[in-house]
Amino acid sequence: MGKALLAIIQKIKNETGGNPGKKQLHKLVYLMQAKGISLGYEYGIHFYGPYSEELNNDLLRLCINGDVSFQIKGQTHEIEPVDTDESVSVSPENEQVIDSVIRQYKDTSPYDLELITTAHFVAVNLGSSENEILKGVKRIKGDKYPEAKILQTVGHLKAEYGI
Amino acid sequence: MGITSFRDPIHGFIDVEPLELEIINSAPFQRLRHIRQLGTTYLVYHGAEHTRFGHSLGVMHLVSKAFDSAVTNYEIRYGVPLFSSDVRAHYRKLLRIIALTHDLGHPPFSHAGEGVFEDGVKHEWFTKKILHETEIAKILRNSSDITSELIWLIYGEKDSEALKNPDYILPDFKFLKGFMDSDLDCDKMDYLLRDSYYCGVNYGKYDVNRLIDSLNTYKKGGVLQLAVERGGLYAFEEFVIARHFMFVQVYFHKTRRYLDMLLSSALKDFWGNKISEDTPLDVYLSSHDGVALKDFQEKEGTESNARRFLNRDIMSCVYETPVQSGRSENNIFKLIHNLILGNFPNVSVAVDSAEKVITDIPVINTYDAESGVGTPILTNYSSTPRDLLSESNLLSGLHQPINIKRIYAEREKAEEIKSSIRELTRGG
Repeated sequence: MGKALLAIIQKIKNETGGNPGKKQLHKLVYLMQAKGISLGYEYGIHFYGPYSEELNNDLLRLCINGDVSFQIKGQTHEIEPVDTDESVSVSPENEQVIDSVIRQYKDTSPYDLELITTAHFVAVNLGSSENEILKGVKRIKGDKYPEAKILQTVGHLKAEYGI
Repeated sequence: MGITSFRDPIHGFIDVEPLELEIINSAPFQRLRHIRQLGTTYLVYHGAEHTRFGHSLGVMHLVSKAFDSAVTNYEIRYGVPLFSSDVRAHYRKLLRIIALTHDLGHPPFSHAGEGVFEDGVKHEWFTKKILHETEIAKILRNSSDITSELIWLIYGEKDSEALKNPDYILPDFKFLKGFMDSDLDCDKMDYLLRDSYYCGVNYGKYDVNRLIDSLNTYKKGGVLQLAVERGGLYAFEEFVIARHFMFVQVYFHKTRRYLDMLLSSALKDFWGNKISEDTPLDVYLSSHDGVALKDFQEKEGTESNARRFLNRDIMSCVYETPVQSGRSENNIFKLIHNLILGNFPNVSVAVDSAEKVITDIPVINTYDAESGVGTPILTNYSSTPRDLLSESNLLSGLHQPINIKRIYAEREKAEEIKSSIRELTRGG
C-alpha cells in the first residue's frame, strides 16, 4: 500500500505544485476508494471527517524509509515526497481514477472536502436518502455546515458517485 | 457497602466504588494478576514483574482525575459548564469502568503474547467478548446505567458501526474516548510511571499532577477535544520525552525484543494453533503467564522453543542503526545484512525493526488544525489553539519518527561478525 500512497503524494504535488496536507491526503484517498479503486484503507470518523489509521501508519512507514518528510506549515502538516530512484507507479486503471480525483478536487478547500467525504461516509454507512445524509452529517458535524450546503453536496454525490 | 481502597505503589490509595469492586472481584479481572504488564521484560529488568491488574486500577484512578480537571478547567476558562451535573457524573462513572475493563482481553505476556494471534486478530476482540459474555456482563446489567454494550460502543466499536447506534452521542463519546486513546491518554500516563518504577529506570517519570492539572477541553463546532493549558507545557514535554526514552530503552530493548520472538515460538507450541476469533473464550480465559510457563517447563525436555525461552538462550545483537535513522542509514543496514548473509552463510541470523511495531512508535502528533490530529495547546493570547512543536523547541529534535533496525546472530559467531562489520565501516 505504501508505494501506491507515495505515487499519489507525488501526483498531488505534480498536479498542484505544492505538498499535500495530511487532511487533504486522507480525504483524496477516501474519494479515490469511493470511486472504486482498492487501496486497502479502512476509514473511521475523526474530528474533521473520514480518517484512516492505516493510511497514517503507511505515512509513518514512508517517513521512516526516507521516502517522505513531514513539514509543519503554520498549523498544517505537509507531506513532502523525497526524490527517489525507485519507480513508484500504480496500475493503469487505478492511475486513471487517481488522476481524475486529484484534478477534480485539487482546488477544493479542506472545509468542503471534509463535507463531501463525511456525507459520502454517512451515505455508505448510515443510509443514502437525502434525509438520512442530512441527518447523519448534522449528527457528526453539529452546526458546522448549513443545510443548503449539505443538500448541494448530496447532489454532487448523486452525480459523481451514483448515491 | 462503603468505599474500598487499594494501596498502589504509584498513586497511593486508590478508592473504588462498589460496582468497580464487584468487577475487580470477578474471575476475568482477577486473571489480570497473572498477566505481566511488560511480557518478557522481567527477563531483562528483573523488577518488571508487575501485572495488568495494577495498571487497570491505575488507569481508572487517573482517568477520573483527568476528566474532572478537563471539565472543571473548561468551566473556569469559558464561564459555562461543559456538561450538566447529571451528565458529568454519568460520564465520569462510565469512564472509570471503561478504564478498569480496557485490558481484560490481554493474552499471556500481554503484547508479547500477541505474536501467536492470526493476522487481523487483536486482544480487544477478547476484551469485547469478556465484557459481553462473562460474569462482568451480569454485574453491569445489575447496575442502573452502564452496560457492556455502552462501554464497547465508546471504547471499541468501529465508527461505521457506532454511528448506526442511536445511543452513540456525538461529540461527547469521541471526547470520552480521548481519555483512553489519544496522544495524552490515561493509559499512557499510568504505564509510563508504572513501568518506569518497576523496571527501576527513571526514563518514564514526568510531573503527572501538573499535567493532569493543566488539562482542559477545546470545543469548536462539532469538535470536543482534550487539550492542555499553556502552563502545563513543560509537564507535557516531559511526558513526550518519557515516551521516547521508554520506547528506546525498555519497550524496544534489544534483548527483550529477541525474547519476544522466542516467546512467540514457545507459545505456538503452547496453544497448538494460532489464536483466532474462533478460539473459545473459556480456553482463552484459562490461560495466563503461570499456565504458559508451567507448560514450557513440562515441554522443556522435548520442545526446543520452550527450552530456549526458559534458558534465556538468546542471539546477540551484532548491529543496530541509530535511533532516528534515515535513508542512508537504512542503506548501510541493508549492506551489512547482505555482508553477513554472504560471508556467514551457515550462521543463523534474525532481523528486527521498529517498523514491525509501527503503531507503538511514539510519534509527536503536533496539533494540526486541518486534520484534528494531536493535542491542542490553549493559550491566553490566541483564540485558536497552538501546537506542541511551535511552543516547544526542545521537542523539535524528536519530530522524526524512531527507526531502529537490528541484526541478531548466534552468540558463538557474534564477535567474528562484529569484527567484519567494523572492517566494512572503518573510515566511514
